[in-house]
Amino acid sequence: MPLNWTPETLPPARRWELRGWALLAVGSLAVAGFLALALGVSRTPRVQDWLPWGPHFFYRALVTHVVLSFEVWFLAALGALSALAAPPGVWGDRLGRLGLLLASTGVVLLLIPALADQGEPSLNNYVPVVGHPLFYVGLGVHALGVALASLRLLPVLARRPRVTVPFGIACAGVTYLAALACFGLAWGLIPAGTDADLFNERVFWGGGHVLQLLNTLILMIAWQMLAEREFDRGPVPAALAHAAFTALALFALASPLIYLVGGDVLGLAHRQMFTRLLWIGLPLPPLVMGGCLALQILKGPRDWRSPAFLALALSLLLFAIGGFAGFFLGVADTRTPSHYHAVIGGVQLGLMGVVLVVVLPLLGRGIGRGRAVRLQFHLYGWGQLIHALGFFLAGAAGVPRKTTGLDQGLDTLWKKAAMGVVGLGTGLAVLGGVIFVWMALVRLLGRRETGHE
Amino acid sequence: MSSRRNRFAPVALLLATLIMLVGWLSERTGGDPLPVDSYAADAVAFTARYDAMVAEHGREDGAVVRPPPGDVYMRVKRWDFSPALELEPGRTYRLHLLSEDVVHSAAIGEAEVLLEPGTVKVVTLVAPKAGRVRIQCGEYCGLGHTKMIGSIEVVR
Repeated sequence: MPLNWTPETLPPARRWELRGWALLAVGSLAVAGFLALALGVSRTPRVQDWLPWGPHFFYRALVTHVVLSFEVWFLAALGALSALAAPPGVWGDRLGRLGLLLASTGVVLLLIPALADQGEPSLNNYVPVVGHPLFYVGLGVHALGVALASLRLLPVLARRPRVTVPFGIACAGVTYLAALACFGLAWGLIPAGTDADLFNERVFWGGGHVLQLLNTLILMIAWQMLAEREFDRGPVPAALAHAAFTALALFALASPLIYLVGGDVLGLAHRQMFTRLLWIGLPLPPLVMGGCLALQILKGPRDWRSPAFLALALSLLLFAIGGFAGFFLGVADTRTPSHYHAVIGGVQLGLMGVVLVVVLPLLGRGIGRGRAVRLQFHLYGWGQLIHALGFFLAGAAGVPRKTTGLDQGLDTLWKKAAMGVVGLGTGLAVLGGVIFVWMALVRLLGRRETGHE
Repeated sequence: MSSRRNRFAPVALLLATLIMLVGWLSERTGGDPLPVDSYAADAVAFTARYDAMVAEHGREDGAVVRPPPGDVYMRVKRWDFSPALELEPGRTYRLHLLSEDVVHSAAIGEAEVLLEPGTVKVVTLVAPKAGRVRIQCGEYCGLGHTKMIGSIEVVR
């Protein structure tokens, strides 16, 4: 009866690869963190009047921040997880190394237009872009790299006895490949000459929704890994965990069918089919696992000094509140970023826990249980919660999303106070993020290993 | 007994997933969920009707129009619905919406209709007793998309 998963000491090729994926993930988060600070400051009343940059910086910074913290960080994390779960072998190692090389090259390419002030920013949903060929090529090369790393996970699906964490990671790999299929199908089906904004929105619409299934899977894998470490067993029995992972992967696998049965790829019905995917296909598995995790945490033991426990408790709280806020979204006000910052903040906290509690110790670069680790989780978790609360209150008062300066229309004290709360939460979360990135990068970049787990 | 219970939850979860999956794939609306009429746009004729409406019922240089119940013409372009409307409570209007540049949409309340250039979409609207009717673009159309909100006020 396989329950807990303890990866064996990694062979040198996998250690090299795991370190590379971790560096790509955390390094991308570092750059995204700097941009988030700039974004938060540029939306804080009064402070924004003193800044030297204009709206163009805001939009380019926003695009780059989202792509790094929302795509590259999660996909590089998937690459790292694939290095842990893929069956050992020369071909798997080669695919992993090539995948890492491509994924890293892609990130460099997509950063060039943004940093060189080239291309029109487009704030389309899920994968915002800078309209420049290098940006698209960079995205494609990055995506291909992660796809190669994910392909070697397919044999894990058939492996018996089934071990929960590797099986979940394999389901995440399949989900990612399904998202790529959606991107490819949309690209092929959208007629030539379509307006660039509409093209960007629709090419990333379907696959972008499937990526939310992937993010949810990554969070559930993190919960499983951390709960096994903290409580010596997962939040749910192994068979139920396998079913929860399978459920999300099934919806992902069915998603490319929408391009056959969902009508015109530029039509409203097609768009709404994918919106319903998140209403129908996403909630149940994390609800089951999250509910059981809540019971597990309530039963205890609750060790608030343990990084694994903090990551579990705070990620669950943030994800649950964000999910609940999803039922009260406005059409285009800041309640939408309130929802996704909380939900994604939950996933981030789970992944931060995996990096600090699982990945670094596996690389012989353990982080310990010091005050800085605990402070990091508290600052990031509570900061994201305050940030999301401010956005929710501002959105309820009518502040539009994705705007800055006068465009925000901060004409009442309530709106100003709410956006001030956003600024406060941003500051706290960025501090927590900075501590995480600093701790992880210092250990990942250091030459000395303290010992293998 | 315990083993049977352990098997029930995963089977139930997968069964529920399959049912929802089939429901999701088969629940196509197949068109705009907001009941609409549509006709091919004749840009010259549409502009003439629009200008006549503004000239007859407009104020503040035509930025705000208080049309009588019946046909109302609205031009849609990045990132604007014009004109702003003032409607009488409880009266029925037929909004003729024409996008003049790229694909937009009109999200009115919880319903939405896609607006493609070249086709006029006609939406029937019964003005509420008071307040505002929110009309907003729901299809990403550029950096100003989130600010593309029209003004429809109910005025006695």
